[in-house]
Parts: sequence; C-alpha cells; structure tokens
Amino acid sequence: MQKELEQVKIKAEQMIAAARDVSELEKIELEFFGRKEGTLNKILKGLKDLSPAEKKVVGPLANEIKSHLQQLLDERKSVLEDEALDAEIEKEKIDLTLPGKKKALGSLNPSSLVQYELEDIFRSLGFMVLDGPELESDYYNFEALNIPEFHPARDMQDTFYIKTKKGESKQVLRTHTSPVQVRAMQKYGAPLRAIVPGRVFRYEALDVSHDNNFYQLEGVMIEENISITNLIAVMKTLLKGIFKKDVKVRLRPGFFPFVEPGFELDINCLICGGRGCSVCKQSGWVELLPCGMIHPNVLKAGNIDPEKYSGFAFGLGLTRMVMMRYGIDDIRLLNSGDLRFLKQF
Amino acid sequence: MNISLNWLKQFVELPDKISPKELALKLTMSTVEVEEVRNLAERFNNVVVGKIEKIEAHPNADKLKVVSVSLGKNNSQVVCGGTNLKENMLVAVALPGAKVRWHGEGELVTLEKTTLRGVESEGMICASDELGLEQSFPAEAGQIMDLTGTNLKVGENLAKEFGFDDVVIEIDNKSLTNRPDLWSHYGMAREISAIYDLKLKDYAIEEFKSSKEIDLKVRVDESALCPRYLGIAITGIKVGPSSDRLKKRLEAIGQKSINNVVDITNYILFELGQPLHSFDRNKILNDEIIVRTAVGGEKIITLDGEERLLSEGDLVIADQEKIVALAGIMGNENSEIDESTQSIIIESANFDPVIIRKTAGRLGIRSEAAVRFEKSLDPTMAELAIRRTVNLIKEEIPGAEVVSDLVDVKNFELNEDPIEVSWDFIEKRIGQKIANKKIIKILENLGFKIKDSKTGIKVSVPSWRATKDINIAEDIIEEITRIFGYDNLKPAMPAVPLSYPEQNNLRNLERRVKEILSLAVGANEVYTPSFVGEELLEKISQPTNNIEMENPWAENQNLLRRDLMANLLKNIYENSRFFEEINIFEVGKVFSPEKEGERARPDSESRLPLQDLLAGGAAISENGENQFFIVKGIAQTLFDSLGMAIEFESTTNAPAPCHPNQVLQILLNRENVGYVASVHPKALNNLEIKKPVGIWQINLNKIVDNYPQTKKYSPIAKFPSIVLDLSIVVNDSVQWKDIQNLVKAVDPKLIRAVNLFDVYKGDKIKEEYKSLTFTIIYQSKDRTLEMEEVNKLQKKIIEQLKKGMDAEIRM
Repeated sequence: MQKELEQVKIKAEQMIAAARDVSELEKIELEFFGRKEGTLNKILKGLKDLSPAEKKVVGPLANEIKSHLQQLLDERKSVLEDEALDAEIEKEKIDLTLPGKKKALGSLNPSSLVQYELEDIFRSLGFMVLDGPELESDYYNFEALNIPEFHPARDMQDTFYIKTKKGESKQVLRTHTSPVQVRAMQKYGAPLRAIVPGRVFRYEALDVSHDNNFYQLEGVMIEENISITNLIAVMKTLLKGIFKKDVKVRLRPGFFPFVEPGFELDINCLICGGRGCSVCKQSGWVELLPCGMIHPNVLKAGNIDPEKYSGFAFGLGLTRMVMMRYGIDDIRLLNSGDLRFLKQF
Repeated sequence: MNISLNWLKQFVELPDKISPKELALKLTMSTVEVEEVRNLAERFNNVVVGKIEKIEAHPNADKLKVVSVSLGKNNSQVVCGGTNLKENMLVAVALPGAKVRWHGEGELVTLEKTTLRGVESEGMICASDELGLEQSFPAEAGQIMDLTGTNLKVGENLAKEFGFDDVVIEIDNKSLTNRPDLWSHYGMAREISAIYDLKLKDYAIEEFKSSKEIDLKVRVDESALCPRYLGIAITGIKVGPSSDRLKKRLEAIGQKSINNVVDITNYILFELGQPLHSFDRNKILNDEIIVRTAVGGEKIITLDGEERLLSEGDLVIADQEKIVALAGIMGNENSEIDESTQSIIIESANFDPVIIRKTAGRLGIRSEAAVRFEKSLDPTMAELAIRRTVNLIKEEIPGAEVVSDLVDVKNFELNEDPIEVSWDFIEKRIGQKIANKKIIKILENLGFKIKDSKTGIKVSVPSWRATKDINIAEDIIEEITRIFGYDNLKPAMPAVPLSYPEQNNLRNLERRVKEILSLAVGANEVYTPSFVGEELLEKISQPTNNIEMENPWAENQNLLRRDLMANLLKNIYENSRFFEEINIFEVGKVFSPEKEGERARPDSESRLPLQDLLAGGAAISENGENQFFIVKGIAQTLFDSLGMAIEFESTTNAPAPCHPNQVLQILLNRENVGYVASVHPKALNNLEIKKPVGIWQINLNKIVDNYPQTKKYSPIAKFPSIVLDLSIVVNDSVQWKDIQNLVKAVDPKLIRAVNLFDVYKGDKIKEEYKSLTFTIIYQSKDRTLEMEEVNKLQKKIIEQLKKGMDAEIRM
C-alpha cells in the first residue's frame, strides 16, 4: 500500500505539472481526490484492513501525500489562473485612440472670465464689488460727476438718450460706470473701497474696435489723506495683478471733469515691447487706465466731506482688456453670441 | 487741432536740440495728447514733379495706360489708371521708396518697382489723396492730381517746389476740452515756454489811428450772453488771393485759403484763438450792429449755404432789419464778403459758452468759432485780436484804412480773487514734498502771480486760465505736478486700516449662477445687446411698449429689452445654421417702465424704471430629447445647486413666447420667480427656427434674499432600503406628479422616494395611453424593513393606482 501511495504521488505530480488549464486541473482533482471514485480515496479505503502498526506508518504518509498534492494542485491552479487572466487581459487590448466620452462643456463669455479675475484681485485688496442702474438719470451720469448740462465734456461721450415725457427728469443709458461712484458714496459713506464692473453704452458706429454695448470696470478708493503717489502705487499693484508681472507705466495729464487732477495711465505696449507697432500706433504705449483724484464736487455730491477725505477713481476698459488678453481683433464678436467664437473659452 | 512748428517758433525760440518728436512727447506728458507728428517735407521723399510725354494703351488691361513721364534728366515708364490723363500734363510722380496712401485709404505704403499685368511700372502717378493733398487739390475719384498751370520745375522734389518745410503736430481735441487757452499757436507757445522754461515773445501789436468818418454803433441787448463786443470799420478793401505767407501757414495746418479777408480772420483765429467775423459793411444797415436773441421761427441761411430755423433765445447778430450772423457760430450769407466788397466791419467778441453750445448743438454746427466759444474764452483776448487783425489787414491789403472808432462794449469783470493753497495741502495731496521754490517757479512760468508765506501761497490766475479752468486748490495741484512730471513722483502705498468688504449678494449670486450654468449644466454664456426692435418683439408676440430711446443707433434697435428672450431666440436662429445642439444662457439687466427702481436724484422722489437682473436661456436638442424637459432640468439643477427648494406649477398666464400647454412657472416660497417652457410654434415660424426650442428665465432679484443658502446636514440612513420597480399604463391625461403624490401618500413615513425612469408610448401601448416605469424606495429611519411588510405596501399601492388612476399594471 505504501508503494501504491508512492506511485500515486508520482503520477499525480506529473499530471498536475502537465495540466494546461484550470478545467484539466479540476479533472485531475476529481481523479485523485474525488470522494467516491478518487484514486487516493480508493486506496485510503483499504486503510481499515491494515494492522495497527502498518496503520501507524501508512496513515501519516497518506495524509502527507494528500496535503502535498493538494498544495501542488493549489499552486498549479493559481499559476494557471494567472495565465488564463493574462490571456484574457491580452484579449482586452482596445484602440485607445478612440475619443473619450465627453460631458457637454459650457463656457463663460471671455468678458466674464476677465471680469471675475479682476474682481478676485480687488476682493483680495479689500474692495467691494458693486453695480448700479444701466439706465441712469442725467443727474448721476453727468451732473453729480461735475458735468453740468451744456458742458463741452459731454461731447467726450456720445450718449443714448431715453424718450421721456414732459416734466420727467432726463434719462440716459449710462456712458460709464462712474455714476456708481456717487451712488456708493451716498450709500456707504467714507472710507470706501469699491469696484463696479458693468455694461455701458455709447452712441457709436460699429466697427472692429467700437461697439455700442461694452464693459468697463470702475474703481474708487476714499480715505483720509489719499494722495497722487498712493494712486500711482495702487494702480501699479493692480496692473501687476492683471498681467502677472511688473509692467512699465507712464502717467500723463488727462481731462475728466470728475477728477482733479486727471490722468491717463499708459502701459508699455505688450505686443511690441515698446518699440512701436500698429497696435500702439508706433508710440510704444497703450492707453489703458484713465484715473485721477476725485473732484471735491463729486465727493460733495456723495455727501463726503472733501476737507476730511480724499480719494482716487479709475476706469478700466474691461472690454479692451479682454481683447488684449485673448488677442480678439473684432470687438463685435463679444456680443455676437456666436457659438463658434464662444465655445473657444 | 493742427499746430505748425514754424508758426510756434514765431513766438518761442525752441532750441534746435529739441526735436519735434521730443516736443510732442513732452506735450503729451505735461499738457495735451499729441496724436501725430508730421514732417511735411519727409512725407514727399521721392515724390517728384513729372510731365506726361506719351500715353499708350496697356496691352493686357483696358482700364490701365502705359505712360511715359519726363522727370527732367530722364524718363520713366509708369502704369496708371487715372481717368484724366493727358499729354503734357504736370503730375506728381512717386518713385520707389516714396510713401503713398493707396486710394487715399489705410496706412502709408512704401512704393516699390513693380510689374502690372505684365508691364513694368517704375513709379506711380499720384492722386491728391494719395499724398494727403486733397484739401488743396480736391479731385474726383479715379482722377490723378493735375498740376498743369503751376510753375513747378519738372524733376524736382514736390516738397521743395511747394515750399513745404514745416512740421505739423496734431493734437487730440478731446484732451483740450478744459483748456480754452490752448486752441491757438500763441497759446501753445505760451505753454511750451512754461514747460521748457523758455522766453515767450510778446504778442506784438502796432498802434493804429482810428477815425470818426463812420459812426459805427454796437448795441448789446443781452449783456450776460455777450460780455464783450468790439467792432471796427475798414474801407479800401480789395478782395483777392492771400499772400503766400498766409496761404502757406493756413495750408500747413490743413486750412483752405479762401480770400485775403477771410484768410486774415482765420489766421488770427489759429494764431491767437479768438474767433473773428467780418461783415460786408454795405450789407449792414446804417452801420449799426445789434446783439440780441432770436424771437424763434426765423429762418436764416448761414455761410455754408444751409437754411437754419432759429429758436427763441438763440443769440444772433443783427442790424436794424435782419439777422446777419449766428453769434459765435457762423455768419449769414446776406452779409458775406464777396469779390466786390470794398468796406468791412470786423467783429471781435466774447459770448456765453452755454448759449453757443446750446444753439450750435441743436443746429449741428461744429464751426471753429463755436468749438472755441463753448469752452469759455478770455474776454481780454478779444481786444488783442481785433488790433492784430487791423495790423494784418493793413499789411496784406495796402489800400485798407480804418474809418471808425474801435467800438468796445464791455460787460464783464475778471475774477481776480487769488486761490489760497497751503504748503501742507500741497504735500499731502501730492504725497511727496516738492521744494517751495520749485513750486513757485513752475506756477510763475505758467503765468500765475504768486504771493508766498510760511504757510502757503496765494495764487492769482492769469486771465486766459481764469474763465473756467482754474478755480480751486486741486487745480493748482495739477499745475504743479504735471509740470514737475508725474513720472518724477515716487509711488507710495496708502496706509489704511484692514477691513472686510461688505458683500453684494446680487453680484455674488449672479456669479454663482453663471458658474453653475457653464460648469454643471454645460451651457454657453452669450452677451446680447440691451436693445430690441418692434419687429423682433412682434415676431414673438411680446408687447412693444418698452422704454424707447430718443436717438437709437438703428431703427430696429430703438427699444430697451424687457426680458432676455427676444435676443436669445434671435441668437438661437443665428447659431442653428452651424450647430444641431444649442444650450445658451445670458445674465443681464432688463428694463420695466411700469415699475419703480432706484432714485433718479438724491433730493427728489422721482425714480428710475425698475432694472432687475434676469438669467435666461434657450436650448435645442440634437437627439430628439424633448426640449421642455431639457430646460426644466436646467432650472432644477440650478436651484438644487443653489440649495433653494422650488416648485413647478402650471400657469395660464405665461408670458410670450411660451407655448400655452408647455409651460410651468417656478415658485420659490410660493412666489413666482420665473418659468420653464417650450417656445410657441408661431414664434418659431416667424423666426424661421426649424426645431422646437426650450426656454427658461429666472428673476435673480426675486431669489437673492434666499442666497446664500447654507446647506444642512442630515444623518446618513442607518437601515437598508428596499427598492421595487413598478410599470403601469395610464391614460395620457394622467400626470406624473399626481401618480407620485398618490404613491407617496400610501405611507409617507416608509416610502422615501418615487423616481420615474421611463415613459413609453408606442406599438405595444394602445393609443392615448402611456406606460410609466418607476422605482419606489422603501426605507425606515428606525428599523430594517421586512420584505413581507414592503410587499403589503406595494400591493396597496397597486390597488390604489388601479382605483384612483385607472391604471393597468404591466408585468
């Protein structure tokens, strides 16, 4: 019997090693370990006919062979399973260059994108983000900003007027975001730090660089003893935030009735680096940011004491910034609603 | 405004080392914006006078000619399309290297030798607008500039022959709005002398003898509107061409020479900045000038040949029987200088800026006189100007003789109160210390008179700056800093207390809504104009009683939008040519004339129209998905994301262009805040949109009080749920919402959700019926449910559906 067991062991070892797949291995398992017909069991059934001394020898041997073979079987099974999986994986090769399944991608108007970027810069400097009416009274759009009726400065902004009934106060589509300066002063008083991004309107013929609906970003800062040198420093910081680097600027006189003194802030042309090109009309500079010290009359209109407080205001051409940022050469695209354009953002 | 460098040099000695470009930069940095510097001679490099010798047909082009031009020493072959070419014609020939403006348009182009349709062309015969000479040589389109009849030398440079040796500095008029004193060469010279600390020459006047021969009378009825009027009569006038000196000066700055009398007054206008006018004395009744206001309704014909209707209050110059000029704006034809004029009356006056601006604005006249008067001119200048005019007339017209007194009607007082500014204020406002001596020097160079003390300065303003420009201490700060140089200031960050900015919830909500729509919903943001037109509104059956503009940019853009739909649908149409699937949205302000919004003035109760902020969108689907449920889903996603619980409710008074049977209003806290709908088929037809469109609109002002919503955590369910499916067939008229409510009502505690996942209509279902498949989620908060219990509930649900909805259960 001992011999028989040894022979079974050798045979089983050979068969397990030769098995080519899991199902073959299962057959082998059945052949040797099957409860009724399994070779090993058949042999072990004869165990009861042996003498106690023989039992003592053969019993442990049989168990040893059984567990040895079981282990071989398991090991071989795991190897074959891995091989089968590898073969399966091999079959799962697919064309990975086929396109992925995309979710519908939305977009914000590029003007919104730049606006929010600017808002974040100003929020980080402690500015409020405000808005006001787009249809404004003549009072807030002009008078309160030190531009009385029949002032030549009204020519600087071609205005859309609203039909009003007799006796009604004159109304206009705001020509700038500046009216919100006075509204904010009246509402919040001083000190004040606020920006106003928003839509403005000018009566203008449409071409690649003019639209009659466009966007500005107004800013105002009022504190005790704000000075011209403060204004320059804050504007430089702002531009650094916008362009992510120090930009060369120059300040020159500019006339806006609601500031005194008033400035035009130019930046070194980003296209040619200041050497002169068609964008900067060969000057090397691009007009970007009209600004100035708030005129005492405007502070008064906002119920702020010009003896105690001073401040500066600036107006950034948001739409122009957007065009510069993305290299958009036709302003009309921004309000066109053309998805061939908008889906690029 | 154009400034001639040669003319400037008459009044200020500019050192040669200051180039015109440098001067322009300095002006830009200290005073006004220079737009362009033009060297008149440089502009004509390689442009020479030529004489046409032979004209032959072009072998390959009907409209072109092959021209042989004599350039003196040699001949040149030029291909040219000019329609007025003639042999022996004197022309301007641009040779390679010359700069020309093709057909008078676009940027300057440098010419090269070229071959045109197979024939070599060694240059170009120029039209006047190609050389910027259209003022002096007006021509019809297609014609070249004809110089025949001049004594220009063939082969010589055109600039040399024309005597162009000037440089012109063009200044942006808008930057001069606040500086009436700079609208002339003398004014600019004065400014430049201050900037560079150079000596300004006096404006030289020679005394002349007046006479009593003629009793010239001036009657000013409206002294407030005419603070000063000077007049003088001169005879012995011979009207003819001006001297070359005058012509050259005027032409350099782009002014056409008319005749000697007109040119002289124009010359003084551009030299000193004082508008003048000359009347033919024979056309003025009884030598009496009357300054009065118009009655209204009078018709006059101004010098430009236009008939003008006057309004009551317009300021006019008249004699005893007729109006002879619109004061300070333009003369009338009826008193115009003509070839036979022998005797003239010269006017040099000062008018109220507001009346000039009102009248000129209403009549649309932007004359050189009007643009200056409306800026508040210095009344002392009027006398200087008329005296200089008399001098110049005597120089230019030898027989001219003054035959009256210099009549001067004065009704003005100069404001001579000095402005007090403390040293401390100057330093604080500028933000840095500038030496007191330096400050005084800057101001004195600009013509201010200074009295200084330990505490500050008293500044007397010169008459030419005192009319409007300089009145307060801040104005003095500007004068000091701009001449000191803004670039010489050192930036300094303000030292201010930290503060948390107050939040504007509407702006925050607007941004959040846009982010959700673009990122979560996958919609594209569009901007559309705030303008709409009646035609478009009618197409979508919306009312047209919107707020109307007085001066719309276009007829179909005359109204302000009441909502976002009209332009969004227009946009859908435009985009549908390129896209099968569209999902757009806009957030913008709209205008409601019936409702009151913000205050129009702080001191009155009057209100502006309400201007709410709306979000709206429109969508069409590619794969046949129902457009209504697309937009309903958008609205639901949006509000879920904002954390606001809304309800949809049917409505019978949906706004146009909603489909009457496919519209739901959106309720937030039982208030109507918007809608979701399909577009009415009629509107689609009118807009030529081929596919059904879903639309949605929400009034952000109405929901902002609920923003931001802090979401609340509720514990995750501890006990497992049991999910069972159910499929039923019901009549089309049965609404899902009712089924859902019925199911839930069976046991509101244990039935946590009833979710629809399929609606089917088709072959397997009888007509007018639909199949609905949904899941019912059973879950208890405090125990694990037994299957038996759930089955019981499911059975009960089925029974009730059969009873209440006449439902048939599908297996």
